[in-house]
Amino acid sequence: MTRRNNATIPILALAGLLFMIPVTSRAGDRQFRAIVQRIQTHYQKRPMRFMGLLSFVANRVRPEGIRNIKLAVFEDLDSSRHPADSDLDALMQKIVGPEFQPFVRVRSRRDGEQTFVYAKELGRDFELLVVSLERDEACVVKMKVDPEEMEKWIDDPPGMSKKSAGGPGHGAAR
Amino acid sequence: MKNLIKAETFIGALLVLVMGASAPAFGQNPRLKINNLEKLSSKAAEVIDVTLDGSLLKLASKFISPEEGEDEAEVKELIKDLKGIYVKSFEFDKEGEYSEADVESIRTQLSAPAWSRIVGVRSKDDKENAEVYLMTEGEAKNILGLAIITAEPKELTVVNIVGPIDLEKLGALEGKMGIPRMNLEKEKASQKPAASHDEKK
Repeated sequence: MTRRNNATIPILALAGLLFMIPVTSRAGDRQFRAIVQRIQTHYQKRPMRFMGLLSFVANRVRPEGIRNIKLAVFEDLDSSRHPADSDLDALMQKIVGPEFQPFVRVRSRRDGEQTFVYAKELGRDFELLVVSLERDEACVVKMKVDPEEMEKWIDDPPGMSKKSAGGPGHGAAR
Repeated sequence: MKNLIKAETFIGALLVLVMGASAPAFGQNPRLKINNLEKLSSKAAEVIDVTLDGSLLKLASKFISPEEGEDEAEVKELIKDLKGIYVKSFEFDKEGEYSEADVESIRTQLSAPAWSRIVGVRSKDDKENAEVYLMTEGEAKNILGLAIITAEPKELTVVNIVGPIDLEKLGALEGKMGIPRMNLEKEKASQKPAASHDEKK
């Protein structure tokens, strides 16, 4: 029994550690990782710590119709380093590639927010890649949505992208 | 031999002509190049860009359930054969941020013979201008696409719908899929023949 306990402790510790590793290092999606990497390099900032844990929690309390959430949040970004709108557009398109189709782009100078949403068909479901850039924050979210949830997005693309800019929970909270 | 070459050249030219004629009005495209307006982004307070085509549009028309309201069913019926919906909308903080030339860059793509303006409403007081263009093909006047331009002093919106669309039900799309509310029903009521474009209120 004692030997069994001894084996369980390292496994639990390892599992705990895995959740603490920023999600970017575990994310399987090339585009998600590429965008996070790009933001990291451009602003010389790392994503917030415990993103793995946050993603885990987000996946547990996720709204219906959304799953496989991966997110990375950047704080205290230097707004003077924000790329020009046209550069950002082209850059995003280059990173996501033809696999994802551009779906919505909302840019509000008043709020200092830009949100890009790209979509990819995944069998019956869709994969959404939401990149939101604020004055001093950035958020990258990748999530799998079922057709019913996707319908909400199609019905009101600007509204849903504005809502989801703060994270996947906002998007479906209707 | 010379005659043979002449005959081949003639047949070739004929083929090109026939193929050209069968394409929608000599290569005119129901999909507009609205990226021309991208330069306005830097001046705009808000920009909305919606691209709805391919699998996304298919999905939108796929799930027609009997529980859904009449309006929803109507929308899905309306979009089931569409190929794409593209919306670009700019909101400015002050007047004069876009020029007539910017709007003209879209209008030039909407020229005859393929495109015709079916609605043109211009309000003198509010300086609002709304135009609806239709692209048709052949004797049967099959609808290939539709374009809506609404220009207000502080707002400019271009909607481009590619594919056959029922004009009578067009209003059902307002406020959906990124298409702003444009009082299309009202404008349709004031529809005039293409010759008398502008209607002063």
